Amino acid sequence: MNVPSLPRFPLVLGAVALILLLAAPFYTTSFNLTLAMKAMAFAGTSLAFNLLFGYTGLLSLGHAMFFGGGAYVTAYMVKRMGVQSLEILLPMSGIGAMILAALVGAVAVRYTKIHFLIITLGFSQMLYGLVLKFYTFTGGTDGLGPVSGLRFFGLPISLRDYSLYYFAIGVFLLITFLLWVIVRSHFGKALQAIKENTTRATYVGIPQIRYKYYAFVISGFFSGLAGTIWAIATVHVAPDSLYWILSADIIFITLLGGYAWFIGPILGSFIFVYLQNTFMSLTGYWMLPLGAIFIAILIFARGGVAMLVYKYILRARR
Amino acid sequence: MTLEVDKLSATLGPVRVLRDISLKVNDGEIVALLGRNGAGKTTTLRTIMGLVPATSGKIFLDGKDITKLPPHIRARTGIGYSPEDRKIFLQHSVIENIRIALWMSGQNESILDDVFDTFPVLREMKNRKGMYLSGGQQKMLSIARAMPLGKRLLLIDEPLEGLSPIMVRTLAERIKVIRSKRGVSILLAEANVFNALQVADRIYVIERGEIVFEGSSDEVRADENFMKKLMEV
Amino acid sequence: MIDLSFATYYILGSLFFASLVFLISAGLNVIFGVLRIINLAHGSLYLLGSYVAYSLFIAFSSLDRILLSVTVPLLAGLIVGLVGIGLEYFMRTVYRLPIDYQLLFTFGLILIFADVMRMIWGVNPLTFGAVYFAYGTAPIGNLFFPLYNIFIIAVTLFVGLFLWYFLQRTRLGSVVRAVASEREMSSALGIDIKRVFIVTFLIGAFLGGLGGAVTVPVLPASPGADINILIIAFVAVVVGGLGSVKGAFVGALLLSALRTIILIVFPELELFSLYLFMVAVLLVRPYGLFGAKE
Repeated sequence: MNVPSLPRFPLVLGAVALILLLAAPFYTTSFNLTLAMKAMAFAGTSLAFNLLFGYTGLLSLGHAMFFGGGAYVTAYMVKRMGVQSLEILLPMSGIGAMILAALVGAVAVRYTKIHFLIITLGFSQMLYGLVLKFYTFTGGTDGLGPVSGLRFFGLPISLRDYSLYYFAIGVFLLITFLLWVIVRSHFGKALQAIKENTTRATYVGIPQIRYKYYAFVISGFFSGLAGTIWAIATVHVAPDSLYWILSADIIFITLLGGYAWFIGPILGSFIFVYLQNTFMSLTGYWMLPLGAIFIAILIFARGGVAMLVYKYILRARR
Repeated sequence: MTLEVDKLSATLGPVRVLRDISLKVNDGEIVALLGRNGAGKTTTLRTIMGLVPATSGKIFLDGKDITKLPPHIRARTGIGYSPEDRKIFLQHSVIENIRIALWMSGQNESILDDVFDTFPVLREMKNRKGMYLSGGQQKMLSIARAMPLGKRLLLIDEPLEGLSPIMVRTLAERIKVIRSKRGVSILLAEANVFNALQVADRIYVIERGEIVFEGSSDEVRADENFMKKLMEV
Repeated sequence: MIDLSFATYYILGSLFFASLVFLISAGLNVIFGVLRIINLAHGSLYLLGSYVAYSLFIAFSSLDRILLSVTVPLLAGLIVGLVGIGLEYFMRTVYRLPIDYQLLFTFGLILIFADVMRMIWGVNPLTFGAVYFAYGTAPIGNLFFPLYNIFIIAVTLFVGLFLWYFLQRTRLGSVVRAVASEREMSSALGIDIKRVFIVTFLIGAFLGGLGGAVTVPVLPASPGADINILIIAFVAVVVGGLGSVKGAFVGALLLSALRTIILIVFPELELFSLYLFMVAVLLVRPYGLFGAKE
């Protein structure tokens, strides 16, 4: 796709953003902290999604199944198994989503373009259907909750003393760092080769299907981790987190932020959560303005906000 | 003069495929554009048809500037096009394929006889779907389908490529019949010099997007060294 | 004898559901066939058809119900068809972009449509049962089958026949199919592609709107119905094969038959089984029963 590769995100800006995020409890309300945690959850899954979309060229419309799947693993273990230790809940959510991705991916990566999209959508809606119907396990339409009484290596974790918030930041940074390492590895480069020219990638000896499969499973794992942030941020995990609208939100976020830049999905998540919340509280209508913004991005700014920022920096330098 | 192309350039993505191509096709003349694969023959025809936008230069049909017109308007002003890969409507029958061009040309059904007289094989299988035709039959259908619209000019991309020697002779003769019966001018792209000489009155040689030679078929035939060079093409 | 009437009842019920699915998926498929765009906003056009029909029913509620049941859907379908033409105009901005963008564009439209309809018609379910009751019921054994559902089956059969006739037997239909199979070549043969796109969107949106309109006396229009119907139509289309009207027809029948059986045997698994079926079909035939490889 015709977006040129972008230079690295200016580290200064990143540092400022991180400081703002870390200092947030000192200057904002706990409601806003929850919003920030939601944004971090979206950011985690959108980064993972973009490993498939931006880097490998596969458009998934089923990422809610890993995101919501991870959230449900956390909620289920807290609620039905009495596990409250985040050092167990977090990896279990990731692994749960990863197993799901390993199963779905075995089928999905054989397809491309529209059919890949349909397969991923199909599987995620299947999961949604199952979760709705097996309410004895999942709570059906009511969902599972509350996710509370959490501990991290014995320490109590709650939003009241902000430890929950900082835990979420920790997970978010972990996801970001690990995905960044993956993207810059040989494996990450191979994925980009697959995206840019499938036939040439085969020619230089990249086992395409297998690499796509790995990317799919990795993406599922990190989405699952992000799901844990979602579960602890929202306290109550509802089936919405598995619904295809959420998968579409992930796509929206990634395009809004800019898929060509690694940090694009992070930008997109915070802007998305901010816009959604603002429009909701102002007018009660958020779909109309967000839909309009989305379409405007598709038509006028396909590089997303990252591209706009980039252009701005370029102009400032001149 | 039916067609006049004046310093035409075109790009495909970042690559400049045509550089200041100029060529003419006189009334009732058959002209061959000779060149190897990738030389720019197909792009030249596609640019004349309007399927590839011209980055500079002009195209005149009977003196009228058509450079900016969309393909369907060009077709309706009297250009028939038969692409290299035939592009038959596979789910349409033979006669439906031709009828579409017929409707767009605004002529009546009588021209169907004309078309089928030129290609009697097609009449026999007029109700057969495009997907069940052989490669050679599809080629014929592609040219036949170009006839109703090609009232002034026919653009035929590699009509003789990949055909058996007998088929080449038959089809070459059919193309001449179309010219003499309907009085249209024909521009065809060809990679093989012998095939080109079978039909063309005049020849342009194109190399890397540029016209490097222009001359009558007789001139080409007379110059043995040049023929040898072209055969290597 | 009781078994037979039972069977008839369920078969009719299945055909009724198949009719709904076909009306929606046919429009989706016509648009995909010609423009190669999956119009995710098709469910929104369906819901718009429902709402418009509801308003028309209310406005003309003094007229004969049976008469209304025929005229209102046609009118609503036409209005939605015109909206479809407007959509096509906007869609032109993304025709040249990769398929992902086109898909996402239509997703953006869903959001906009959803809020606009919420502004106009609110969030409460709206229905016009009077038409449904005007038709009455027919006894089948000791069960009663609503005649309005039979009417919907008849409308669907008519629409199917009309589509077949239009595409296979008329000039414009032939041209539309030509553009569907070889877009560029069609323009080189004098076909004005833009106009064919407009016609296609008109037909596709008309079918979606008509589907929404005929169902509003049975199924209330409410937010979320757009997505639900889209997903079911989507499954039918994928099972039958993208871009094939025949595929949409067979897909709708198969899907409804399966749904009817599942609802009798194991009602909890309705949604799950539909997707399972879709995935199973894709595993055996990756491009659907009647689809062609891209």
